Amino acid sequence: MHSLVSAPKYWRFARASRTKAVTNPSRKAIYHFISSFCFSRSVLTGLVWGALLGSLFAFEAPTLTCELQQEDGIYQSTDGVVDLKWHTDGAEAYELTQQSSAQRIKYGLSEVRYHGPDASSVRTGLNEGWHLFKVRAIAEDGSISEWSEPLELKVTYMNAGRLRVLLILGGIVVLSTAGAIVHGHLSHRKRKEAEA
Amino acid sequence: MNLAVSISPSTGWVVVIVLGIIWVGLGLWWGRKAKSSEGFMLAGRNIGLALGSATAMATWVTSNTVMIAPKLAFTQGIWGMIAYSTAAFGLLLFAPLAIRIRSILPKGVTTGDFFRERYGMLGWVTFIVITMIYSVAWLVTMTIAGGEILATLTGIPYHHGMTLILVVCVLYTLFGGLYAVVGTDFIQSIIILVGILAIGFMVFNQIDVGSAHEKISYAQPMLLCHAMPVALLSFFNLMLFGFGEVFHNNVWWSRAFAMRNKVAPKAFFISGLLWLPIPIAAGFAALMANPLGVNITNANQTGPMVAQHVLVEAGFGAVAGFVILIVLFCSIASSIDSLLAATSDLVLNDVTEHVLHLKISEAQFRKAAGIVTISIGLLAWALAIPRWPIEIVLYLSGPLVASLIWPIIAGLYWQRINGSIVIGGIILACVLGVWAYFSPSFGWFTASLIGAAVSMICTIAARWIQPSALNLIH
Repeated sequence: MHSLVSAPKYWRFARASRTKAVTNPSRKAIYHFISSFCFSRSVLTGLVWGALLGSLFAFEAPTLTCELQQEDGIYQSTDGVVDLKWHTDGAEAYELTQQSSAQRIKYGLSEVRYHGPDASSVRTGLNEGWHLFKVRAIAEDGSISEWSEPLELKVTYMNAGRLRVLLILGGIVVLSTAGAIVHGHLSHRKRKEAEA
Repeated sequence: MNLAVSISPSTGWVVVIVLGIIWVGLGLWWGRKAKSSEGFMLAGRNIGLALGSATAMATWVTSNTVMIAPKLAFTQGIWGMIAYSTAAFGLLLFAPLAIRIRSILPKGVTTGDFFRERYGMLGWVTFIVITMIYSVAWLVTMTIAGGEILATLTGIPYHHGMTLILVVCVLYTLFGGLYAVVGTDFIQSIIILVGILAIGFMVFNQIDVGSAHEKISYAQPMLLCHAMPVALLSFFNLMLFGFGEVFHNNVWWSRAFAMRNKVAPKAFFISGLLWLPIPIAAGFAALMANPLGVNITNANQTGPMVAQHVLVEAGFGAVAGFVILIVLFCSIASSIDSLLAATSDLVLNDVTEHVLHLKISEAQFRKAAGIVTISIGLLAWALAIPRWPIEIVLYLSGPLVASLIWPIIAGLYWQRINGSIVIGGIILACVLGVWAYFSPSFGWFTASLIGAAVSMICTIAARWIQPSALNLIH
């Protein structure tokens, strides 16, 4: 806390009493008194700053949730979509941030994804990998809550091998269906022409 | 953003009641032509090209088109946007099928006629179970969507809104039969087409494409990725789901029977072409949500949220709610009325005659049609009350309807086939498709593909393994 305030002369004196060896008993008593006084001031200042900061974080941090399934405490998405919801009483607005990384241990910089009065947001088009979401609330008087507990999300898309097989299957079924209809139609027309 | 209530409940009531009175009035007016059962069920088999194209296009624009197409673009990017538009190929490919249907069943009334003649009672029962699951799920999802949209846009309570939209559709279908459905579809199709394309155009005007591309690449990179697995698989999956929906459902067969002889293929082809840009326009608007600064809080409401934003930005703030409400109301009504009419026909023609063995005379027909239409409406209403997530049933019906694609093609064009293998293939395809839907290794975006593939293999095998001649094909 000392580093946060300018150090007046007696503070420097008091600091000297702690760091320097003082041999004279009378000076030692003075140093002790000043040191105690400064200690009390430090505590007092700490309390004042605490109260000030406390007023800034006057309301609870929002609770951030989503309805995806969890595995080891990490939410899992297979389509890159997450429907985030949050709430805290007395909030005028919220700020939602996202950190993303392809590797779990290397989150990138935090980006603000939403700032406004809504208490939910659907995030889509997320890359494969880990994403960390946090939200904080802002009250009408401008005070800001602490950040919510981070919500960790892992996006895993279908593996390339299975995807390829299903895409080929899809292509075959669609083309075969269209082909069967066109072939059937042409045969029907030919039969009608022959009958005519 | 949350989709704000942009018009008051009283104004919402006025808009919906005025639209309802117009549709019911037109239903009564057009319904005067329906003097026989054929007139009521098939509009006298005399629908022309303009009405035929419009009714097919309007029916295919469901609440899914204006709600799910934007959701797919927003969650799966460019491939998702294109994937939904591939449902148009269902209509395009139904054009040649319609020629064949009219040729082999000149006096046909429902799809059930075809399945019963071609695959016997077992095939007919399999078809009825699948089509009823699909049709009722579709009808109920439309009703729920109607109630939710009215609640969101106008503040009208959900139960009041969904009752209102269902009552309006039941009334004009009841009075006018297919005449009323086709006529109202024509007007609704124009409103839908103009509304959605105008919103797509406004989005295009409000964004700088280069900057939008940069923003999406930065925050949602996979939306622009050419190899996004989910979207690539959705491409085939949705296309086959669309094929299954159109090829099997009585909504489309009844239109093929109702159009003049040479009109049906042209009408289906034109309707496919007209429908194609609608999900592209709706999807493009949704893809731009992030660059436009729209925070999507519910993916199912991506379309209306972006539409509201661009209309307000374009200076149409006061009328934004009206425009969205009218377009959505028309798209939902045009599907509910068609489903009510086609499902009632199926029950009247197939279930009463072949299950209950009741023969309905011309004199009793309108009364019976009324009872069946109201009953189906009541069933949809009862299922919509608890707001169950019945859209899951609709999505689950993807592999079910996809399993009918090849049996229909084979039944229409092939001379010899082993019916038992085909029916076994349909059941196997349904089971494997539903399994794939829930399997974490595959996922919903592969279910229809797997259903269609299994059924295709079995149907092709049925052509070669002890096939027997079928007497229907000329």
